[in-house]
Amino acid sequence: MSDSTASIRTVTAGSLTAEGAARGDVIEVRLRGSAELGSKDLLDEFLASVFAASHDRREVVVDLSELEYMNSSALKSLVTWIVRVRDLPESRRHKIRFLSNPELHWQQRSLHSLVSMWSDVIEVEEWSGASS
Amino acid sequence: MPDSVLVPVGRVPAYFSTAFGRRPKVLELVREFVSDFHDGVVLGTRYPRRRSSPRGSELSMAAYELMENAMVYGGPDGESSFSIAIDPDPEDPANGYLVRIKTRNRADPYQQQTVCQRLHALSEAEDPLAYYVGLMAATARRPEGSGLGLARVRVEAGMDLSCVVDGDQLEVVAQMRIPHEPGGPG
Repeated sequence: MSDSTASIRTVTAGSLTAEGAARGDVIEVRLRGSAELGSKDLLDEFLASVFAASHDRREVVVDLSELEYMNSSALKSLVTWIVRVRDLPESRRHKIRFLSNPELHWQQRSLHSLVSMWSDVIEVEEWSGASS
Repeated sequence: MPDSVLVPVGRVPAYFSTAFGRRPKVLELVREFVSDFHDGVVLGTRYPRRRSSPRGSELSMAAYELMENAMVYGGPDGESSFSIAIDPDPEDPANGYLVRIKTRNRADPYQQQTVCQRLHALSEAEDPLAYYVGLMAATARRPEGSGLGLARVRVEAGMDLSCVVDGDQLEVVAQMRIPHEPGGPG
């Protein structure tokens, strides 16, 4: 059963800030800055807390519009999380929707690689530019 | 959109190199520099901070991944080196250019063999994207090391990769021939 008040601890590692919050049956996640050498452990920890909070939710939206760069170790953190979600029974599995910034070109290429593997759980949407 | 215009160099060779120790901040600085270097030298433009051309973005990603490998595997006291060269394409100098990124670091024989085997497997892969996503799936359940960096350079930057072993040194080279954009420097 989902907990509508579930909170996800904000983490900061170097220039990376990761924050998330539950809003009804959606988890909203935002990654900002740059996920580089030294940020993987905290990103793993953060995504584990997102996973714990996302049980029985409909969707997790991951806003990458202000994420300048992500190294391959951080990309692996995302991959590990996606695989954990895919391993859930289908009835408990939620969608993951990435909001990408078209001006940050690496995002198109890296997200394309992820979608080519796991299009059953991942969607990519271009960030509209409207900040909340 | 670019916020200023530099003098386009276009077809003149350009080269940059640096040595670095185990300072992660250097990775970020060089990553940002590489896209500016490419965009300034080839396109004659400079984008606002933290923005670049698509090609500049690919090259900065490749530079970062190769430098991070050199830094991590070069050991805590190891000095590594990085270079980027932009030259007219030797096979078609009028219409394109060649970018070559190199890193060099100390590596033990096991590391040398591991890296060179990975590069060989990548170059032999019939479908590099399929190889890359297969690697992603395999690495997802492994706690240590992503093993994705070199494959990412091959697939997401479209660069050819090779390695050279020289004593206790390992050199990794990523290169790509790029056609000039229509209406580009000429």
